[in-house]
Amino acid sequence: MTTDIHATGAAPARRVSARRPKFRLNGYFFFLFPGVAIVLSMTLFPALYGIYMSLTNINLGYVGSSFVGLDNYVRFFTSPDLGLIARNTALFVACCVVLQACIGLAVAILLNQRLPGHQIMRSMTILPWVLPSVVVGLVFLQIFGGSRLGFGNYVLSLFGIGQQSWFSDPVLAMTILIAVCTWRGIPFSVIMFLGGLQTLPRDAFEAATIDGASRWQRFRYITLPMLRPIMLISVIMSTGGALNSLDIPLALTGGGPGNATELIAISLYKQSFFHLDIGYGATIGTIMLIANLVLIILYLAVLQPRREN
Amino acid sequence: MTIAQQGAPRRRPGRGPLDPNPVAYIFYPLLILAVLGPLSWALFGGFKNANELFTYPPTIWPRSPTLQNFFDLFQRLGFGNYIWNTVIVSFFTVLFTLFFGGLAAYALSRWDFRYKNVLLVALLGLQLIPSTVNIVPYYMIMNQLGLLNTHAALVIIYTATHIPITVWVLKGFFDTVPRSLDEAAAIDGCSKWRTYWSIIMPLSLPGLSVAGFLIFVSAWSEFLVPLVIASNKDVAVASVGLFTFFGPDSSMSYPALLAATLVTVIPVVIGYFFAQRYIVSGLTAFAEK
Repeated sequence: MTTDIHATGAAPARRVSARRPKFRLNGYFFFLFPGVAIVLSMTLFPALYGIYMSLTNINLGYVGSSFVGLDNYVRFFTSPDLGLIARNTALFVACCVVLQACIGLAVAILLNQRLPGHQIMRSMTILPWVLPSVVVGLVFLQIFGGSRLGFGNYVLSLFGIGQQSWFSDPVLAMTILIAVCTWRGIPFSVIMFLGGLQTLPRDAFEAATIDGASRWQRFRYITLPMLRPIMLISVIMSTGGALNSLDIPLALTGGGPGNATELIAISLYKQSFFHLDIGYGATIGTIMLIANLVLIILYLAVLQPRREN
Repeated sequence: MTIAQQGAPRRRPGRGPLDPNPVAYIFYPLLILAVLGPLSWALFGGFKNANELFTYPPTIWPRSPTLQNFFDLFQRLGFGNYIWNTVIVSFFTVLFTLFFGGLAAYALSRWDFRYKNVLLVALLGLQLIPSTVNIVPYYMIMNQLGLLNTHAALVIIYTATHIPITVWVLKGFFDTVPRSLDEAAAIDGCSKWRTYWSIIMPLSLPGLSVAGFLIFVSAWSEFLVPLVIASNKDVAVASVGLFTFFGPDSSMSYPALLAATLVTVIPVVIGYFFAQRYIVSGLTAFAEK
């Protein structure tokens, strides 16, 4: 009994002393807290706030707002433009992702050949990645738009393609939009794939070569399967990049002609800041957030087994 | 993170490509054209006068190079102000991000506590919430804080969105600094703060500069957030200025556009060529992690 009392008396004291270092000025808490607090306040909090806003009819043109439940969501899913926006977004994202993965892998394999000059080529290829994307959009707007006698038309005329007014034709406008976003996105895929290629074990290739495998067979049966995790990550990231990209579409077509290149991100921007209907804009944002959460979970799931070893 | 820790690309023994295939040379010109073609048009176009810019067939090399576009840009359009705003915002973003991110990275590198790995993964996940999704709430939050059209709003948002990647990169660097240094400092009576500032930070300068550069490039290029939060002429950054002057909605395309493009791009490109070996290795390390 005495030992019991002793134990209960000592336990809280021990717990206090074990806890105290956590909140001492020298504890990790004070190093960690400010950074984490800032991150949460400007990433997680706005996302949650956006979900709340999507349930109201808040509008920048009026004072006050009221709770409207799921009205905005009903409006989104019954909107006559939904089909067009969904089609455009799906087409845009799918084309960007596939082109970036294929061309990115081809260029990475090209740059992975350790020939004299490959390092300069690598620096050059990755250069578009650091250019501000709005600059990329505006430069290509000048190349293909501006006048029918622009630089883009001249270059294409050398290949026997007649002059086009790129931004007044719906199909051509979408083509240009996809091409420019791919041009800007390829360097990132190249960086990822190059990183992946450099970790492939050489003895597998040596063994295959001794066994008489051709270059194509080595690529098909060694490189491709071993690159799979990197490829998955790269595809997930470029899907997110294309889905959320607003800089280049806004600078290049702004959704036009008409709404032929209207993507979900452009729609969010226009509804919020042209029509001032930010409750509805937040609804589109929440729908995009859900799509992004799926991508984030996939991304972390692919990363998980790799982090453990 | 091993490559990032070294700060420079290092090929691992027994890894990497086997025999180079010279057929690759056939594709080099194609690659050069695809990347540098559009860029060279913008580069040399900045030095052409309006007549030459719109002649057909177009020229690449300017026939009578002129600096008129740059004078127009800075005197008539006041573009220097936009560049200055970008410098201010990017500078303070780098400063605050390295400060808060560095502290957090040190904590995650030196202490073991519950949920540490959860926190690291959560940071990675939060980093991936795009600003497109958060743009409407950003506007409302900054409106309510009275921070619309201020540099402070931009710095706060950029700092928050850049801390996670910074924590990951810096933690990698701090992990390479031996813990025995911390222990020696502790025996000599250094507090943890003192240890961080006087020992770990100076030893991690290469890592801090890589992270700083990545943050700088990213902050310099931000477009959507400043377009919505700070589009007023007095506080607007270069990307917003470019868009309002030369975007699809502006009535005419000035020859000054290409000059403006050059001025906006040059700091990033110069930095890129200095730091590219670190960027590439840092990024691939991040991808491998």
